[in-house]
Amino acid sequence: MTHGPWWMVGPAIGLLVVLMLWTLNKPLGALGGWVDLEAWLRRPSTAPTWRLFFLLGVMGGGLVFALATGCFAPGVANAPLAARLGGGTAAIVLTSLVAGGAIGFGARVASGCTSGHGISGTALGSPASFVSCATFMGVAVATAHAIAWLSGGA
Amino acid sequence: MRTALIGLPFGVAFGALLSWAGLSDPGVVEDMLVLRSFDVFMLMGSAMVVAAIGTRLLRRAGGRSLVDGTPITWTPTAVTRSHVVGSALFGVGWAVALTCPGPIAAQIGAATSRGSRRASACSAA
Repeated sequence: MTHGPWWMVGPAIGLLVVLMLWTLNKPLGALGGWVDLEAWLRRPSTAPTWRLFFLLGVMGGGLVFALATGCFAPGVANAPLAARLGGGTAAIVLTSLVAGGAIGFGARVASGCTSGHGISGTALGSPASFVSCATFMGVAVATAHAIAWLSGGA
Repeated sequence: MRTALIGLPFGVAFGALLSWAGLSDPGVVEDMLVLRSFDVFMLMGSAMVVAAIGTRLLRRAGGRSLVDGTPITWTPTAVTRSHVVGSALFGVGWAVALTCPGPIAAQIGAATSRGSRRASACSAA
Protein backbone atom coordinates (compact mmCIF):
# COMPACT_ATOMS: atom_id res chain seq x y z
CA MET A 1 0.00 0.00 0.00
CA THR A 2 1.54 3.26 -1.10
CA HIS A 3 0.55 6.49 0.57
CA GLY A 4 -1.88 8.87 -0.99
CA PRO A 5 -0.03 11.80 -2.62
CA TRP A 6 -0.18 15.09 -0.69
CA TRP A 7 -1.94 16.86 -3.56
CA MET A 8 -4.87 14.47 -3.18
CA VAL A 9 -5.04 14.00 0.60
CA GLY A 10 -4.32 17.66 1.48
CA PRO A 11 -7.17 19.19 -0.54
CA ALA A 12 -9.46 16.34 0.60
CA ILE A 13 -8.78 17.24 4.24
CA GLY A 14 -9.34 20.91 3.35
CA LEU A 15 -12.73 20.01 1.84
CA LEU A 16 -13.55 18.00 4.97
CA VAL A 17 -12.90 21.14 7.06
CA VAL A 18 -15.31 23.11 4.82
CA LEU A 19 -17.94 20.36 4.86
CA MET A 20 -17.77 20.07 8.64
CA LEU A 21 -18.09 23.82 9.13
CA TRP A 22 -21.08 23.79 6.79
CA THR A 23 -22.73 20.90 8.60
CA LEU A 24 -21.97 21.52 12.27
CA ASN A 25 -20.70 25.13 12.11
CA LYS A 26 -17.62 23.91 14.03
CA PRO A 27 -13.94 23.87 13.07
CA LEU A 28 -12.32 20.46 12.60
CA GLY A 29 -9.70 19.44 15.17
CA ALA A 30 -8.61 16.23 16.86
CA LEU A 31 -7.73 17.61 20.30
CA GLY A 32 -11.32 18.50 21.24
CA GLY A 33 -12.34 14.85 21.10
CA TRP A 34 -9.65 13.93 23.63
CA VAL A 35 -10.68 16.83 25.90
CA ASP A 36 -14.31 15.69 25.74
CA LEU A 37 -13.31 12.05 26.27
CA GLU A 38 -11.57 12.99 29.50
CA ALA A 39 -14.61 14.99 30.65
CA TRP A 40 -16.96 12.16 29.69
CA LEU A 41 -14.89 9.50 31.49
CA ARG A 42 -15.18 11.59 34.63
CA ARG A 43 -18.93 11.93 34.21
CA PRO A 44 -20.20 9.05 32.11
CA SER A 45 -23.79 10.09 32.84
CA THR A 46 -23.46 13.13 30.57
CA ALA A 47 -24.38 12.83 26.89
CA PRO A 48 -21.41 12.20 24.58
CA THR A 49 -20.56 15.26 22.49
CA TRP A 50 -20.12 15.46 18.70
CA ARG A 51 -16.38 15.88 19.30
CA LEU A 52 -16.32 12.58 21.19
CA PHE A 53 -18.07 10.87 18.28
CA PHE A 54 -15.61 12.55 15.92
CA LEU A 55 -12.70 11.05 17.89
CA LEU A 56 -14.39 7.64 17.88
CA GLY A 57 -14.77 8.07 14.12
CA VAL A 58 -11.05 8.79 13.65
CA MET A 59 -10.28 5.54 15.48
CA GLY A 60 -12.80 3.77 13.25
CA GLY A 61 -11.28 5.38 10.17
CA GLY A 62 -7.83 4.08 11.14
CA LEU A 63 -9.22 0.58 11.58
CA VAL A 64 -11.27 0.67 8.37
CA PHE A 65 -8.23 1.84 6.41
CA ALA A 66 -6.00 -0.86 7.89
CA LEU A 67 -8.55 -3.58 7.14
CA ALA A 68 -9.39 -2.27 3.67
CA THR A 69 -5.73 -2.18 2.62
CA GLY A 70 -4.97 -5.59 4.09
CA CYS A 71 -2.54 -3.99 6.51
CA PHE A 72 -4.14 -4.76 9.84
CA ALA A 73 -1.05 -5.62 11.91
CA PRO A 74 -1.56 -4.93 15.63
CA GLY A 75 1.52 -4.25 17.71
CA VAL A 76 3.65 -1.56 19.32
CA ALA A 77 6.38 -1.68 16.66
CA ASN A 78 7.76 1.78 15.89
CA ALA A 79 10.76 1.51 13.57
CA PRO A 80 12.18 5.05 14.03
CA LEU A 81 11.80 4.91 17.83
CA ALA A 82 13.29 1.41 17.95
CA ALA A 83 16.27 2.57 15.90
CA ARG A 84 16.94 5.43 18.31
CA LEU A 85 16.35 3.53 21.52
CA GLY A 86 18.04 0.30 20.53
CA GLY A 87 14.91 -1.70 20.00
CA GLY A 88 13.49 -2.62 23.43
CA THR A 89 9.69 -2.77 23.56
CA ALA A 90 9.65 -1.45 27.16
CA ALA A 91 11.74 1.56 26.12
CA ILE A 92 9.41 2.25 23.17
CA VAL A 93 6.30 2.05 25.38
CA LEU A 94 7.82 4.21 28.13
CA THR A 95 9.09 6.84 25.68
CA SER A 96 5.72 6.90 23.93
CA LEU A 97 3.92 7.39 27.25
CA VAL A 98 6.14 10.30 28.32
CA ALA A 99 6.00 11.91 24.88
CA GLY A 100 2.25 11.28 24.79
CA GLY A 101 1.94 13.20 28.05
CA ALA A 102 3.82 16.15 26.54
CA ILE A 103 1.63 15.98 23.42
CA GLY A 104 -1.63 15.88 25.39
CA PHE A 105 -0.71 18.42 28.04
CA GLY A 106 0.98 20.78 25.58
CA ALA A 107 -1.85 20.70 23.07
CA ARG A 108 -4.38 21.27 25.82
CA VAL A 109 -2.50 24.29 27.19
CA ALA A 110 -2.23 25.60 23.60
CA SER A 111 -5.93 24.81 22.96
CA GLY A 112 -5.12 22.97 19.75
CA CYS A 113 -2.94 20.53 17.85
CA THR A 114 -1.65 19.89 14.33
CA SER A 115 -5.15 19.70 12.86
CA GLY A 116 -7.01 22.25 15.03
CA HIS A 117 -4.34 24.96 14.93
CA GLY A 118 -2.20 23.77 12.00
CA ILE A 119 -4.97 23.31 9.43
CA SER A 120 -8.38 24.63 10.62
CA GLY A 121 -7.26 27.56 12.77
CA THR A 122 -4.80 28.91 10.22
CA ALA A 123 -7.38 28.46 7.43
CA LEU A 124 -9.86 30.49 9.49
CA GLY A 125 -7.24 33.20 10.00
CA SER A 126 -6.86 32.86 13.76
CA PRO A 127 -3.71 34.65 15.04
CA ALA A 128 -3.41 32.15 17.93
CA SER A 129 -3.29 29.31 15.40
CA PHE A 130 -0.57 30.92 13.26
CA VAL A 131 1.59 31.46 16.35
CA SER A 132 0.87 27.96 17.71
CA CYS A 133 1.58 26.32 14.35
CA ALA A 134 4.84 28.23 13.88
CA THR A 135 5.87 27.33 17.45
CA PHE A 136 5.19 23.59 17.32
CA MET A 137 6.59 23.25 13.79
CA GLY A 138 9.77 25.09 14.74
CA VAL A 139 10.24 23.23 18.02
CA ALA A 140 9.45 19.83 16.48
CA VAL A 141 11.87 20.33 13.56
CA ALA A 142 14.60 21.49 15.98
CA THR A 143 13.91 18.58 18.37
CA ALA A 144 13.91 16.03 15.52
CA HIS A 145 17.29 17.35 14.34
CA ALA A 146 18.67 17.26 17.88
CA ILE A 147 17.51 13.66 18.30
CA ALA A 148 19.00 12.67 14.95
CA TRP A 149 22.30 14.31 15.91
CA LEU A 150 22.36 12.74 19.39
CA SER A 151 21.60 9.29 18.03
CA GLY A 152 24.35 9.74 15.44
CA GLY A 153 22.00 9.31 12.53
CA ALA A 154 21.23 11.29 9.43
CA MET B 1 -27.32 12.93 20.92
CA ARG B 2 -28.56 12.58 17.36
CA THR B 3 -26.73 15.78 16.39
CA ALA B 4 -23.62 14.55 18.18
CA LEU B 5 -23.62 11.38 16.07
CA ILE B 6 -22.99 13.52 12.98
CA GLY B 7 -19.42 13.87 14.25
CA LEU B 8 -18.88 10.16 13.58
CA PRO B 9 -18.76 10.08 9.75
CA PHE B 10 -16.52 13.16 9.71
CA GLY B 11 -14.18 11.39 12.10
CA VAL B 12 -14.14 8.23 9.98
CA ALA B 13 -13.27 10.28 6.89
CA PHE B 14 -10.54 12.17 8.75
CA GLY B 15 -9.06 8.99 10.25
CA ALA B 16 -9.00 7.25 6.87
CA LEU B 17 -7.43 10.29 5.16
CA LEU B 18 -4.73 10.58 7.84
CA SER B 19 -3.96 6.89 7.44
CA TRP B 20 -3.91 7.12 3.65
CA ALA B 21 -1.50 10.06 3.88
CA GLY B 22 0.76 7.90 6.05
CA LEU B 23 0.50 10.19 9.07
CA SER B 24 -0.11 7.19 11.31
CA ASP B 25 3.34 6.03 10.20
CA PRO B 26 6.11 7.36 12.50
CA GLY B 27 8.59 7.02 9.61
CA VAL B 28 6.63 9.52 7.51
CA VAL B 29 6.53 12.04 10.38
CA GLU B 30 10.26 11.56 11.01
CA ASP B 31 11.02 12.21 7.32
CA MET B 32 8.97 15.40 7.62
CA LEU B 33 10.53 16.73 10.82
CA VAL B 34 14.16 16.08 9.80
CA LEU B 35 13.24 17.83 6.52
CA ARG B 36 14.01 14.75 4.43
CA SER B 37 10.61 15.01 2.73
CA PHE B 38 8.30 18.00 2.37
CA ASP B 39 5.18 16.02 1.49
CA VAL B 40 3.50 16.50 4.88
CA PHE B 41 4.19 20.25 4.81
CA MET B 42 2.65 20.37 1.33
CA LEU B 43 -0.28 18.29 2.55
CA MET B 44 -0.96 20.63 5.48
CA GLY B 45 -0.44 23.71 3.31
CA SER B 46 -2.79 22.54 0.57
CA ALA B 47 -5.40 21.50 3.15
CA MET B 48 -5.14 24.95 4.72
CA VAL B 49 -5.48 26.79 1.38
CA VAL B 50 -8.48 24.72 0.26
CA ALA B 51 -10.12 25.15 3.68
CA ALA B 52 -9.37 28.89 3.74
CA ILE B 53 -10.97 29.45 0.32
CA GLY B 54 -13.91 27.10 0.91
CA THR B 55 -14.86 28.44 4.33
CA ARG B 56 -14.75 32.04 3.09
CA LEU B 57 -16.92 31.24 0.08
CA LEU B 58 -19.32 29.50 2.43
CA ARG B 59 -19.50 32.49 4.76
CA ARG B 60 -19.78 35.00 1.92
CA ALA B 61 -22.64 33.02 0.37
CA GLY B 62 -24.50 33.38 3.68
CA GLY B 63 -24.29 29.64 4.37
CA ARG B 64 -26.14 28.19 7.33
CA SER B 65 -25.41 25.10 9.38
CA LEU B 66 -27.11 22.08 7.81
CA VAL B 67 -27.83 20.81 11.30
CA ASP B 68 -29.21 23.75 13.23
CA GLY B 69 -29.56 26.52 10.65
CA THR B 70 -27.21 28.93 12.46
CA PRO B 71 -25.26 31.28 10.15
CA ILE B 72 -21.78 29.92 9.37
CA THR B 73 -19.29 31.96 11.35
CA TRP B 74 -16.16 31.71 13.45
CA THR B 75 -14.19 33.90 15.83
CA PRO B 76 -10.41 34.39 15.53
CA THR B 77 -8.55 33.81 18.80
CA ALA B 78 -5.99 36.32 20.07
CA VAL B 79 -2.51 35.03 20.92
CA THR B 80 -1.71 34.32 24.56
CA ARG B 81 1.40 32.97 26.30
CA SER B 82 -0.34 29.59 26.66
CA HIS B 83 -0.36 29.15 22.89
CA VAL B 84 3.43 29.49 22.76
CA VAL B 85 4.25 27.50 25.91
CA GLY B 86 1.78 24.70 25.17
CA SER B 87 2.78 24.43 21.51
CA ALA B 88 6.49 24.29 22.42
CA LEU B 89 5.84 21.35 24.77
CA PHE B 90 3.59 19.78 22.15
CA GLY B 91 6.34 20.16 19.53
CA VAL B 92 8.85 18.25 21.67
CA GLY B 93 6.39 15.40 22.28
CA TRP B 94 5.47 15.31 18.59
CA ALA B 95 9.14 15.01 17.54
CA VAL B 96 9.85 12.27 20.10
CA ALA B 97 6.75 10.11 19.58
CA LEU B 98 6.41 11.04 15.87
CA THR B 99 2.64 11.24 16.16
CA CYS B 100 -0.02 13.73 17.28
CA PRO B 101 -3.65 13.69 18.54
CA GLY B 102 -5.36 12.86 15.21
CA PRO B 103 -3.02 10.09 14.06
CA ILE B 104 -2.87 8.73 17.64
CA ALA B 105 -6.60 8.01 17.40
CA ALA B 106 -6.15 6.39 13.97
CA GLN B 107 -3.27 4.32 15.37
CA ILE B 108 -5.37 3.22 18.35
CA GLY B 109 -8.15 2.20 15.94
CA ALA B 110 -5.73 0.13 13.89
CA ALA B 111 -4.10 -1.15 17.13
CA THR B 112 -0.66 -0.30 15.83
CA SER B 113 1.90 2.46 15.91
CA ARG B 114 3.75 1.28 12.83
CA GLY B 115 1.49 2.73 10.16
CA SER B 116 1.01 1.29 6.75
CA ARG B 117 4.36 1.92 5.05
CA ARG B 118 6.46 -0.30 7.28
CA ALA B 119 3.69 -2.84 7.10
CA SER B 120 3.59 -2.64 3.31
CA ALA B 121 4.49 -6.31 3.12
CA CYS B 122 1.76 -7.26 5.58
CA SER B 123 -0.75 -8.33 2.95
CA ALA B 124 1.85 -10.61 1.44
CA ALA B 125 3.26 -11.84 4.75
